[in-house]
Amino acid sequence: MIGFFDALTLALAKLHSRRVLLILSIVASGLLFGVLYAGTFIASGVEKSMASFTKEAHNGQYLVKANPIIPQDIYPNNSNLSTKTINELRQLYADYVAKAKQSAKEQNLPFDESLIKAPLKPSPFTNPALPKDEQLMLDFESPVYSEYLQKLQKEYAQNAPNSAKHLAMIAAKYDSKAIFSTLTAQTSYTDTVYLQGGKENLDYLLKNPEPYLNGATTYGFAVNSVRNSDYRMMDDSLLQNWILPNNEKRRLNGAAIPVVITTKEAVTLFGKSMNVSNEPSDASEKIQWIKGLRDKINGQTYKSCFRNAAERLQLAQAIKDLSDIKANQNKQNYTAPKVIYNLPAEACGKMTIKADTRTASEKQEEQSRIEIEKRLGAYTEPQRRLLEFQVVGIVDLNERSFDTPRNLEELAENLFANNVSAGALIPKSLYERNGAKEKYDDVLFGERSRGNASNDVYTKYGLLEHILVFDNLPSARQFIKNEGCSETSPDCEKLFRLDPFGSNYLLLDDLQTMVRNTLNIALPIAVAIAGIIMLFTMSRIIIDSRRETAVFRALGAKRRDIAAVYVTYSFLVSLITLISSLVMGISIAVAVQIIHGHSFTEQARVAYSIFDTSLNFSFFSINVSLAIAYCIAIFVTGILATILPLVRNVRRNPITDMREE
Amino acid sequence: MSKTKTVQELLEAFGNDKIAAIRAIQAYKLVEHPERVSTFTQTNEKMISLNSISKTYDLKGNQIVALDNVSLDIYAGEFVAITGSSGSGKSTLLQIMGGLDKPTTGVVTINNQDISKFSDSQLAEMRNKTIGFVFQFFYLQPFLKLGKNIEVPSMFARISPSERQVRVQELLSAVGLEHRNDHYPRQLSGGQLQRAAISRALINRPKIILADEPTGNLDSKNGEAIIEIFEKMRKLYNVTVVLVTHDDEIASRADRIIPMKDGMLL
Repeated sequence: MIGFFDALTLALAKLHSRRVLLILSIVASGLLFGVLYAGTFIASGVEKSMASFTKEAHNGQYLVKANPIIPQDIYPNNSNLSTKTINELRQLYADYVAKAKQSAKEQNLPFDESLIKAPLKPSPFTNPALPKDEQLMLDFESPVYSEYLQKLQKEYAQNAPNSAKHLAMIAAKYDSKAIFSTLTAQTSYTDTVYLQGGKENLDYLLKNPEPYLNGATTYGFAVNSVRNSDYRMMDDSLLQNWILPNNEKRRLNGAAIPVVITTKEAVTLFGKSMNVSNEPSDASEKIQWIKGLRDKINGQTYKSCFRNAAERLQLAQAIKDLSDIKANQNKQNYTAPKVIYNLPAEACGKMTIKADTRTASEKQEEQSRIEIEKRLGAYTEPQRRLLEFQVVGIVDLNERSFDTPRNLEELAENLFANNVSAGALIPKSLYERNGAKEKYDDVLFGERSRGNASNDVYTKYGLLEHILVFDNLPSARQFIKNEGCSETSPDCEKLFRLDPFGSNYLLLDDLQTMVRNTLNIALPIAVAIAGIIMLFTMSRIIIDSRRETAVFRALGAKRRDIAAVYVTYSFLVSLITLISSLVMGISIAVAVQIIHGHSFTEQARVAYSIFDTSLNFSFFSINVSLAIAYCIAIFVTGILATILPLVRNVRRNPITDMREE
Repeated sequence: MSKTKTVQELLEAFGNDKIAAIRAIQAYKLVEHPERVSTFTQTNEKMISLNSISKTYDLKGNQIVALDNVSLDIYAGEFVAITGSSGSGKSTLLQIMGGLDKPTTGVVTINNQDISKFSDSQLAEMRNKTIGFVFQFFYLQPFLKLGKNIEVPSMFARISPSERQVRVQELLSAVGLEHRNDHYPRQLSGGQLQRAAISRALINRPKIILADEPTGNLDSKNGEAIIEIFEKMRKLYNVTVVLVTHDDEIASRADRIIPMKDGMLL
């Protein structure tokens, strides 16, 4: 058979025939595969860059936030009250009334049963076919109802399959390295007010004793966490990227609550006083901006005032009384309240008694009432605390979009989203070390008032948020996928809501799947289209070469010699196609790198809070197995496109082909 | 009969009876060069032997007879011209000699081998080593340099590149194209191309050259030169030359002229 170099010589000469058609065909197939190559280079580059940033940022740890899902069917259903529930509630009500009656008797007070709200009231909405005494609905304001609710919650929590203990056991199967609970502070937008400029404005209490109507009206964790008083305590190790180095200023303020706040919050709170400009949109300016912000913000303090519902009602009453007295001072038939208070002299201060005209028995009666309420578990002591916070870290939070990114900017937004789910975070050991625990623990994490009691039940039984640590991505991913639903999935049959914490590393997975799916579809399509183009071109070229083939055969070429020449030819065409697609693929990836590389690097550094790093975000990395797969696809396409016309060609009678001129 | 008579004059002398004219030429050659004629017959070394060859085609149900019971011996070193008008079967005969086509009946012996039973591959090998083809339209690869074009048959024969180089140079010199080794076909004239094609036919040192209308695409001056090349090569390489032509002038240069009509030898 013809030698390789001779076949190559003849094949190379063949490349000159039908040049325009051949070039068009190579360009078209090269484009197809070039775009595919670019896709894999970019996807693989993004994947690798993200992985290295994630690794450096979390020291190779992947954090998962886990929240137990409390099934809604543990609560009574108002539209379909069972006889059992009705009977239970009636029993509880009877017990409650009996207890209240007994207490009143002991305290020597008159007792009026009608003052105690029953948990059930007649309902006009229930099925009229039911017996008259079961046509009922729940009264959520009844103290008996809230007692019943706690009872149900406790029953669930005691045997819950998604308590901390179970979570740890399930996670251990996925080789989790650590589990941390996170505690949500009971301060909330209803009872905590940010003291702007250190001052407290009490006017709002006249309109409504709920402070959220005065300021923190827009709910948004990244912007209004301080106004909404949304604090969450976590292990320091989970917050290490965001905690700033200790400095002089911080040591001076010992017993303040250490907090990591968002950059947006930092601007809201300290923008004016610290002379911090608004967040720049340009990524490289932003990195400088954050660096500056980190220096300025470290150790800054701000204050909020916590007043619980009892305290707020008292204060609101006092304000109302004072204004009534003023308005009615000239009216003779006006009777002033028996106890008159002075409003607090300083921010978050205490009310003092201005005048008390009650008789001794009136005072005694008041005391007795409190005593009864205490016994029934219905009394809440007014509580008030000036909360002083000190900034010990900042995090640049980006909210994650759950839509499929349509362009690179949206991809960047998603890639660099971090999911910490709370606006302001308290590092646990810093909080315990600097004395804040002793000073504030009762208010922040102590026994809740009645309104928040359900949280207490769940917290007590370990049904609270946890952060789990995995030391590799596959384990974290498997755990999330198998054991939980995302925050966004509405109907979840599983025990936990599980989401990546800190950075959106699971997007890497989505990205991989997306790329894999796209390429799984794109590759056969590209092969098919390129195949058709090549088949057409090769057929054309080989048909054009019939005479040449005939001449070769007349000159003594065997069929396999001809085949060798054309197979070499198709290899050459495939090689050129491969080279052009690689050049195309690399060019596109490099172009994307030039256009977006710098900005992505800056965004990644900001998102992962790693500023002193040589890590760069690269859009170019070779996925060897995919690159080889495409290479094979190109060659197979080339060979297949050659074989058919070639077989037809060598079967022809050379004489006829030589005559056709 | 004077030697200076042209073919035209000869034809007129025979009342435009071509066959008669050709026979006259052959008779003349027998008289003028008895030594050569006798050499071919006396050595009795048959290079090509066709025994009762027939070739029929089926054309839409009609049997077309291309060759009708042709028997012919061509001797080693002989220069034979096969003439005849278009459709006389001369090209078919040449193709059967070259193993490009198979006869319907009859036996073809080339260089003492019965090629009738040869496989495709054996035929290819025979064409490659024993036969050199020359075509009317040269059929050189336009994107190969002349030297490489000439080498093509030797590529299929797996002759070493160094040996090929020697042969190419030798052949190019022999046909007067020694400086054209690196030229492309488009840079050469028709006559030069056909000389290169003859060199290509000779690269594997074949015993037979089969030329199908080799001058058909050339003017008379170039045609004459090509015939001279054939004569020169015959002497140089001791090859048997079988030439198909409808040009009587060209045919007259052969040792023997075999006229054909309607698939039969006359």
